[in-house]
Amino acid sequence: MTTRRSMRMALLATAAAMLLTGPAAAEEKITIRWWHAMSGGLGDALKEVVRRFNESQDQYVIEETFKGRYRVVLNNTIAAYRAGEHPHIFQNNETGVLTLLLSGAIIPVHTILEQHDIEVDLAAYLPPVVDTYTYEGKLLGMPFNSSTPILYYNAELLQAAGFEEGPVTWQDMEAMIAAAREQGVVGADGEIACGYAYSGGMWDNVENWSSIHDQPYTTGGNGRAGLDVELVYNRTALVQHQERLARWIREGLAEFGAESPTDWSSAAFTNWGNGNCLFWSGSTASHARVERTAQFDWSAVHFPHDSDIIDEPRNSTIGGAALYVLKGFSDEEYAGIAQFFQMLTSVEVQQYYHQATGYVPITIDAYEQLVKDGYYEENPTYEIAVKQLLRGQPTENGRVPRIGNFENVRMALEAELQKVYAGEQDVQTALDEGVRRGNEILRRFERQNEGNFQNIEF
Amino acid sequence: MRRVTFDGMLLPYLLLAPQLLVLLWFFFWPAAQAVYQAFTITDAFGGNAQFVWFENFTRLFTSPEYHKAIYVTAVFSVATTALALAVGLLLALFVDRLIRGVQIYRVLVIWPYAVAPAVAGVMWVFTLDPQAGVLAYALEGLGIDFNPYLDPVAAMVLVVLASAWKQISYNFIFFLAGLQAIPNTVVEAAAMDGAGPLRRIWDILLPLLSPTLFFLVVMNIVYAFFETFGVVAVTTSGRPGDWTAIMVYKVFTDGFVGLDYGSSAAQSMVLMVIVIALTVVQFRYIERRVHYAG
Repeated sequence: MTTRRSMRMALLATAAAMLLTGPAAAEEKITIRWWHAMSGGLGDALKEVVRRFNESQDQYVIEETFKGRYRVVLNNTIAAYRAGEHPHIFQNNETGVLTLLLSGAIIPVHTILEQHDIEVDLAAYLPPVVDTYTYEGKLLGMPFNSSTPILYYNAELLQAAGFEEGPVTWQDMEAMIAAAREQGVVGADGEIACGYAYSGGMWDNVENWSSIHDQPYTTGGNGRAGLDVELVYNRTALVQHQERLARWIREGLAEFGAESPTDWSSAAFTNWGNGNCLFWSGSTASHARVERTAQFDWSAVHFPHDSDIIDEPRNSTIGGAALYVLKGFSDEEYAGIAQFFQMLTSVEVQQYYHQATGYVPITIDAYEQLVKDGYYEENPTYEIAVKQLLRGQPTENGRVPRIGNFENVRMALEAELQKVYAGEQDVQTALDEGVRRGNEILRRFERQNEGNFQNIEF
Repeated sequence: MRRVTFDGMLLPYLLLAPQLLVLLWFFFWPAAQAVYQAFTITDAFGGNAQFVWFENFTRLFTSPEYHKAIYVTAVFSVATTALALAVGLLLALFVDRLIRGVQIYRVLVIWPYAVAPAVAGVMWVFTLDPQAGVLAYALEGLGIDFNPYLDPVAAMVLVVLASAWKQISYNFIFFLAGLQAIPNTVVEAAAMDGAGPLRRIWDILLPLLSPTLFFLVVMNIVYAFFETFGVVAVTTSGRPGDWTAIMVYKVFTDGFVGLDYGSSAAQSMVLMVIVIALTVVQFRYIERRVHYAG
């Protein structure tokens, strides 16, 4: 009885919905489902892009769903794929490239675009973006949101310490923090300003730091040589950098505040955003959040480099994500996806998404248009990331590591470094342990994917 | 009394069938899948399953990370159980002696049980956050630097408090019911013999309460092993340095972050065996020493 009643209710609700949207719209359109990881301001901007596409034509309707952080989206997608209930498109970040390449579950975006007569011009994208998501010159996923870490600073506190501009090197940063402490500069919480609000993330202070300083993360060109590569970050200048961070925490120059497991916030950001600290490093895509949170004058500079290690810092690497298309749908549906992807790379959409979120414009055309329009004269901090991604001669060390279960490799090192802050072990031991655990994960991945290179089809 | 019997075997089986099917489909089938998965290595999308016998298990038991998870789980479950039982018992003893307002106290103490573990976790994070937490602020006033982000001990205290807090209500209900089932005459007789309140608790109430206590120990350990996942996930996520990564949390991270379903399944097998063993040991050996009142 209850089920029959609820079914009747559901039918009524559907009928009402159809009346509201108009009968033609509800019947004819083909739905394309998209699972993503964009919440808050980033999610609002994504919804706007979807709205624009849905209104631009009357054949397809994109249905976007927020599923949680990247790893949650991936998990949901895997479970759905195994059950045959997967969406057409899902968003995955730079750590999942190898997993998806070998999965046999995706159709490379390159193939989809070519099959629907859309020319793929890799030269149109920023090189670090293309490099992350291509295999043998073919695009695997559609680059969507790309970012890189920059250093945000509290201009008021820095000024109180006697500095007009942000730091260029880690040495500068240390001198500024020391000066602020010496002069007793007070943060919003009424205590001596904390120097560097440090979230302990691996993306900025390990991977991007290594790229900027031309230090390798693994053997074999940061993983490009195959599945048998090994981690090497415990034998590079990264040791010195991690020792600096550990010393800062010990001496009170930095304050540790962990990342949230559920969203993009961290205790370090809260600390800085409340006006207690001089510096916080984070993604350029945090612009929207910084603007909303910070009740003080702030600005940003390049992610600093260590002048003892390198004179001319290299490019940093991208974070962010691409959109992957799963197998199992009709050609008509893929045609709609191709159409949607084409719209995503348009200058208008790129410009909009960049300005709304802080993610970098991923095509060169869009970037040049923004420069021409004078956008960066008004908003200089939005350009830092683009410049940082493009500077210097790229080397193998400046590529996003392409390794298996990268997310897990990252978390192993993160845990080992936390033991340093708790006074359990020294930095070298932590990095050695990170490498040991990480290599085990890589060997495991190698076994899991034995023979999976045959899954790659173009 | 007339015994009801069936003529054939068909009808009873038919009548049982729906129930059995539900059990098979929702319980035995997934459990069988998990057992099978524990013996395989597979890629994330499940395309490349290889049967590897006990490799997942040998790998687990030679892994220092897994040894650590076992140690952390032991500390965590003992601390959570002890705290939840002690506080639950104390509150029950107080309320048992109350004359007026028993109802109000009872409702107030039972309240937290309605809160989901994850929500309890979030609440404790807010209270103990080194920057914003009320309790952390108070501790700072006492000269204690409480920082669960950096200090493994503080992190453990946080997850234990958050896990035990909710379980206190559960224990309270059972203890109170147990206490109220103890005949007043026994207690009064002891009082007339000159036994003070503490003496009466120790020599009379606790022994008579031991069946309840025993039952609660089992329930609390099972709770600490399995249901506290949400607490760890929202409070510390295993940080710092895996010092709060209890076994059930590691099942999740290895499976759903590390995409290593084989190892994850093997770990759930281990968990299952541990809980079965604990229960058997408690029922077979400890139960004999428990005094059951008629």
